[in-house]
Amino acid sequence: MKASKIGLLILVLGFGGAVETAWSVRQNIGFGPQGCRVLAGRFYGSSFTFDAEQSRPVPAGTAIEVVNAFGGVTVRAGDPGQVKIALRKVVFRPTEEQARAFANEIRIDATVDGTVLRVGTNRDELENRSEGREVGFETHFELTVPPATAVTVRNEHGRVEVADAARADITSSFDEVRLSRVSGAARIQSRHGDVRAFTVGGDLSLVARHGRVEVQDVQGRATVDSEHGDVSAARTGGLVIRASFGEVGVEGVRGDLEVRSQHGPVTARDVSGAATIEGSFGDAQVEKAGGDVRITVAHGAIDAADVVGGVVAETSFGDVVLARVGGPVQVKVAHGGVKARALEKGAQISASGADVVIDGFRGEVRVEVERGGISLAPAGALTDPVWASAAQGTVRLEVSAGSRFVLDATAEPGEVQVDVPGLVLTSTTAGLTKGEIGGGGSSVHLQARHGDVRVQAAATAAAKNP
Amino acid sequence: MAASFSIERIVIGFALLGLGVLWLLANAGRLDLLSALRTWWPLLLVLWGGLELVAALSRRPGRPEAPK
Repeated sequence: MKASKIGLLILVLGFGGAVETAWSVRQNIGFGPQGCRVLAGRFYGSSFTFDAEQSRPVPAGTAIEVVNAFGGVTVRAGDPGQVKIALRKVVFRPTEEQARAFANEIRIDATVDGTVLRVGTNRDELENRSEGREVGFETHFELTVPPATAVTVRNEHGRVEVADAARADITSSFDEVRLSRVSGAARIQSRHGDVRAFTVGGDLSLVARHGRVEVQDVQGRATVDSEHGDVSAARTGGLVIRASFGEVGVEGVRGDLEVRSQHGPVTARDVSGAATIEGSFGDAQVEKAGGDVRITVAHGAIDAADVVGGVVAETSFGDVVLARVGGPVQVKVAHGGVKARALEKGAQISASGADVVIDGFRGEVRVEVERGGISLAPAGALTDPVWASAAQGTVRLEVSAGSRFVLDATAEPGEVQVDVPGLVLTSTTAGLTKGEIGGGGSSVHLQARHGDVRVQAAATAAAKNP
Repeated sequence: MAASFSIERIVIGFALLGLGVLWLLANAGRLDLLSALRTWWPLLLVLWGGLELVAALSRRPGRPEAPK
């Protein structure tokens, strides 16, 4: 074959390919006032809406199961003894006649299977035909069911809304789920859509992917498993949340709270029981907890306030802030400092890279800091043991009137300064000072490596460090 | 004047002619250019194939080859 023929063949086929590509692009991409959008699929172009209705008498206690796709499902409570099914059919065809002809073939399938009324359409049958594969059609259900009916919904590509049911079991994808006023237990599984569950009388189990979750007023225990979406929960029973790649916000838990979160901050308020939070790459905050609080975070700060029980906090690359803790405190921080106020039952703190400041504490305190200082101010007279060791930082202790302890302070290299009326020094050598106040008592050991130790009266310290 | 004859030139000629007519009609608002091109471009292959067949038949043994 001559080169000219080969060249022409390539030219013609190239031209044809370009024309086909341009045609395909024009069919599937639209440019308009809202910008550029991809319009692939059958649900494009002119559409026409047609309605169908059906009413079925059902005995009391009949459960409802709705299976649907490409359309919304709404289930509400109505009159007892009957189920009203309204189906809105939206058919995408160029003309109304064509759409009506196709819509006439879309049926409501409602069959009673034991104590369950199953509701759906003949979508599968239509889509198995050649025309059905080409035509886009939506089926939107609105069901009115007897009060206190157990409802199950399986839906794809459509909004699901269920209200005033006895129980609810919803599986949905690619659109929003809204559940409200369920007297019993509820179960929701959702992908690619927001989920809202309000006023559930029993337990709630919720699994969500790629969507925001909002839960309110759950009387029973709530379990939320979420990925790629924020989680917000308010006024629930005991609450367990597993979340990743989203913020977690909790308020008002009647019972224990357990949160396992990755790549997102966690905030919890008003937890009547214990709170356990494990997180990473996000801050954790707990305010008002009736039990113990245990927070473990990697790469994030911790903030706990108004805790009736004790606090165990462990983090890295973030500070720990504590306020008004009724129980014992254990803190371990790597690359972060600690600021604490009003600790009622002492603390055991280990930190590195920043200062540890405790303002107002009772009970035994043990603090160890690398590359940072320590500042301790007891809530009143100091009578409990204190052990504080700082490397590359200054150790400060305020002593109030009425304190009783035996002092053992070392600073190497560094200086020990003691300025407390009534504190009698029994031994003073370079870098080592011993003494006692109030006739002695618990041991107060202060140690600074590459820093000073300063022991001052509370009033003096307040004047010097207002 | 003796013009040289080749199938490729005939195909190119028809292609240009067809493209020009379609473009003209599109500009006049009589048709959708892309739709028409997408529908009718395989006609080029049909035309070319037909001409090749005619040429092959005309070169049967015993008949002198057409001048190019």
